[in-house]
Amino acid sequence: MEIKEQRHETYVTLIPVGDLDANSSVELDERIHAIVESGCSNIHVDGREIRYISSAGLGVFISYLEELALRGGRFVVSGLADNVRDVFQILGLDKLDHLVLTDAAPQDDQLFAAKP
Amino acid sequence: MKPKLINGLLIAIGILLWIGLLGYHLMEQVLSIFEDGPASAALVGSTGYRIVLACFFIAHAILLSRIFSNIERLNVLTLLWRLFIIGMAGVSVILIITFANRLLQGLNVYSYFKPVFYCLGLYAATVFFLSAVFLFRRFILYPRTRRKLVLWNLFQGFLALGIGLLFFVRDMVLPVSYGFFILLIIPLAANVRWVSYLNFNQKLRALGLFVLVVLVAVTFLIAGQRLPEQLGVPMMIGLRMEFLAFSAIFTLVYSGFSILVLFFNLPTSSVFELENFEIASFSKINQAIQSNLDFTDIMNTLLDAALMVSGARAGWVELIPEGAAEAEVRIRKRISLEEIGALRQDLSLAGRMLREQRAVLIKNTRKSREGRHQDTRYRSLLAAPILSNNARFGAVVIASELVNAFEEVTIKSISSYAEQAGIAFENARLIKNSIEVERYQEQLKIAKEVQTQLLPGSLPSTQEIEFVSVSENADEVGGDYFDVLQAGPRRYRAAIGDVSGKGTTAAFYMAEIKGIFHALARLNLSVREFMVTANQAISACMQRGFFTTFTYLEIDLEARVLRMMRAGHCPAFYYSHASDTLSLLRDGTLGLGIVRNDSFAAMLPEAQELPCQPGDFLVLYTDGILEARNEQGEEFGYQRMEAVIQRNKAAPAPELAAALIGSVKTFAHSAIQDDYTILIIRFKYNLPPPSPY
Repeated sequence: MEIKEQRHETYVTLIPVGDLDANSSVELDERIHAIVESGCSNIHVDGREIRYISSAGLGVFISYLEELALRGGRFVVSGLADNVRDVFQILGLDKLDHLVLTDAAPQDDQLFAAKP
Repeated sequence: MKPKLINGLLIAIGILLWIGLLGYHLMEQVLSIFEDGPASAALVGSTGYRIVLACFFIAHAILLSRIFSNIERLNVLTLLWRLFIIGMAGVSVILIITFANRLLQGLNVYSYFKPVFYCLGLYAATVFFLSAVFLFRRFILYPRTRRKLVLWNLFQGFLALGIGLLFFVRDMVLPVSYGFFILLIIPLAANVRWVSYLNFNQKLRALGLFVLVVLVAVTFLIAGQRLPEQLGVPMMIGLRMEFLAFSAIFTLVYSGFSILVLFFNLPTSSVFELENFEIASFSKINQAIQSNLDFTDIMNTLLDAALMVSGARAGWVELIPEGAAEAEVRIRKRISLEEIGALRQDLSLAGRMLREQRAVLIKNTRKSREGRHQDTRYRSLLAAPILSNNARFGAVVIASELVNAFEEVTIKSISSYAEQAGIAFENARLIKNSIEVERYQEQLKIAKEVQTQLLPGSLPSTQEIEFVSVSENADEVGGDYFDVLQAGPRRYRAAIGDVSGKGTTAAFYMAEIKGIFHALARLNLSVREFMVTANQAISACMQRGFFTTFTYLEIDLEARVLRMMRAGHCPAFYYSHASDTLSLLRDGTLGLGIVRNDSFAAMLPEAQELPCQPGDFLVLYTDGILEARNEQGEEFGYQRMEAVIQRNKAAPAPELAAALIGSVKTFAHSAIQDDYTILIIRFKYNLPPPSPY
C-alpha cells in the first residue's frame, strides 16, 4: 500500500491510499511507529483515499492511542468515506478524546492546538 | 551326465593312458636289459605307443578345457594364481626327479625308475601347458567376438596338427607349420582387454604372477631338453612332441604380451581409476539426491568426491542457514576454522560466493586480484557454489598447497558435483517443507475442531423464544463468537462478538472471550457491570492493538424485558411486530480492549431496554455480513440487509437466517473473505403476557 507523508511544524500528515487490511496495516503501523519514535505525538491521517478498513487497520490506531494520550497528542482522521467513517463510529472510536474524526482537512495547526 | 562325473571319468582315462605309457617305457627298459644293449625303438615309438600318447594328450586337453571354461567368474588374479600353483607343483616334480636321478645313479634297480621319472615329468608338463592354454583362452575371449573365436579355432587346429605330427613327420612340414603358428598366435596374444579392468595394484600383482608363470614355463622347457637325455630315455627318432611345443610357445608368447601390456599400462591405471571414481561419486551423489534427506550425508559425499577428484589436500563445505546472509562452515577436512576464516576474509571469498553463479578459482592465494593472503600453506583454492534453480545453499571449497593446482576438468567435475548436491538440498528442503505444511494443516484441522466445540452446538428453543445461529470462518479458524446461556427457567444471557484480526490469533482470543462470557454471565451482574468487568479482563489478556467488539444481552421473559449493550459491535436490527417496524439499534459504546483504564466505565451509557413482544425479533450479526463485497467492490451494507429482513420478517427464524446468508453469498458470488455469524432471537406468538409480579 502507498502511504504519503507530509511533515508539518507540529504534526505529521499520513495519506494512506487503498484498502487498510491485515497486510497493508503493517506498513501503516511501521510509519506511525517511526513518527511516534521521532517524538511527534500529533498525527493527522488524511483518510480520503482509504477505501476500506479492517479490524486490523483499526487496531493500528488503537495501539497508539494510549501513548499519544499520555504525551498529550492525538490522531485526527479526516475526510473519511461514509462506509469507513461508519466503521470508526460503530466501534465507538468517535467517542474518544484522542481520536478526532473530521470532515475537513486541518488547514492549520488549530486541531492539534486545542488541548483535548 | 553330470559335468563332474565326466571330468572324473576323463581324469581316470588320463591316468589309465599314463599307466599305459609307463608300461611301454618299463617294458622297453626290461627288454633293453635282456638284449643288453642301448634301447631300440621297438616299443616306445611304435604306432601303439603313439596312439596312447595322442589319446593321453587329447584326454587332458578336453579335461582342462572343460575345467577352465566352467569357472564362472573371470578373476584374473585368482586364475593366474592357480596356474602358478599347478606350475609350481610340476616344477617340484621336475626338481625331485633331477635330484633323485643324481642320488640313485649307482643303484641296480635305478634303471627301472628312469621310465617312471620320465612319465611323471611328461605328465607335469602336459598338465601345466594345457592349463595355461585353456586359461589364456578365457582371457583372450574376454569379451567374445566372432573374429577371436575363428582365431582360437585355428589355434586349436594347430594343436591337433601337433598331435598329428606324432604320426607323420616330414622335414618340410615342420618349418612351415611353425611359421604359420607364429603368425596365428600373434594376433591371438594381442587380446589383452582384461588388463584395463584392473586397478594399479591388481596390475602389479598380475605382472608378478605372469613373470612367475614364464619362469615355470622356462623351467619346464629346460627340463624337457635335458631330462630325457639324463634319464637315458631314448630320444625317439621321428617322435616329435610338437603338441607340447605349440602349447609352450603359446604360453610364453601370451605371457610375454601380457607382461608388456601390464607394464605399460601401469602409469595410466590411476587415470582410469580416477575416471571410475568420478562415475562412482556421481552415482553416489545421485543416490543421495533420491533417498537422502540428511544434509550432513550429502555434504560429506560432496566433499569426499571433490577432494578425491581434485587431489586437493583440504576442503570445506559451507551452508547458508535459512534466512541468514552469511554462510557457515559445516564440514571441513584437514583445515582449521581459523585458517578457513582467514582465507575467506582475505580473499573476500565469502562475498564472492554469495554473488557468483559459477565456480571461483584462485590460482595463487598470494597474488589474487581480489585479495592476498600470505600467511597460509594453501596456494590455490577452488570454490563451487551449491545452487538449485533460484536457491543458493552454500559452497564447496577445496584447497591445495600447490599454485595453480586445479585443471579445467577438475573445475568442471566439482561444479557438477556441487550442482548435484544443490538438487539434493533442494529436494531435501522441499520434502521437509511439505512435511511441515502437512503438519500445520493437521494442526489447523484440530484447531478448527476445537473451535467448533467452543461455539454452542445447539441453542435453546422453547414455546416462547428461539435462538438460531449460522456461523462460518474464512480460514480454518476465526474470531467470531456467539453464545447463549440459560440463567434461569425463563432467563437467558446471550452474546455476540468479533475479535479483531483473523486466523489463529483471533481464534485464541475468541476462546478467551468465551471464558470471560461464561464466567461473568453466571454472576448476576448488571449489563453495565458485565461490560466494565469484561473490558478489564480483555484489557489484561489481549495484546495491545487487539480488541473485540461485543454485544451483550440479558433476556427476562418473566419481566418481558430485554436489556442489551453494544460495545463496538455491529448494530442489531430489531423488528417490532406490533408496529411492524424494523430499526437499527445504533446506541452503544466503545469496543472492549480499546480503552484499558477506568475511563471506560465513565463512557458507558445505560443498558438499552426493549420490551419482549410476541412476534418481535432481533438480528445480531458480525461484520463479515455487512462488509461482504461484490465484484465492483461495493459492500453488502445495512440497506440490503434491511431489505432482506423486511422480505422475510414473517418467516421462521431459521429461514430468515438462511435467506440472509443466501443473499450475501449471491451478492459476493460466494466469495466471503471474512468470518461471518448471524444470531437471531425471536419471541414466539404464544409468549404469555408479563407476570404481574
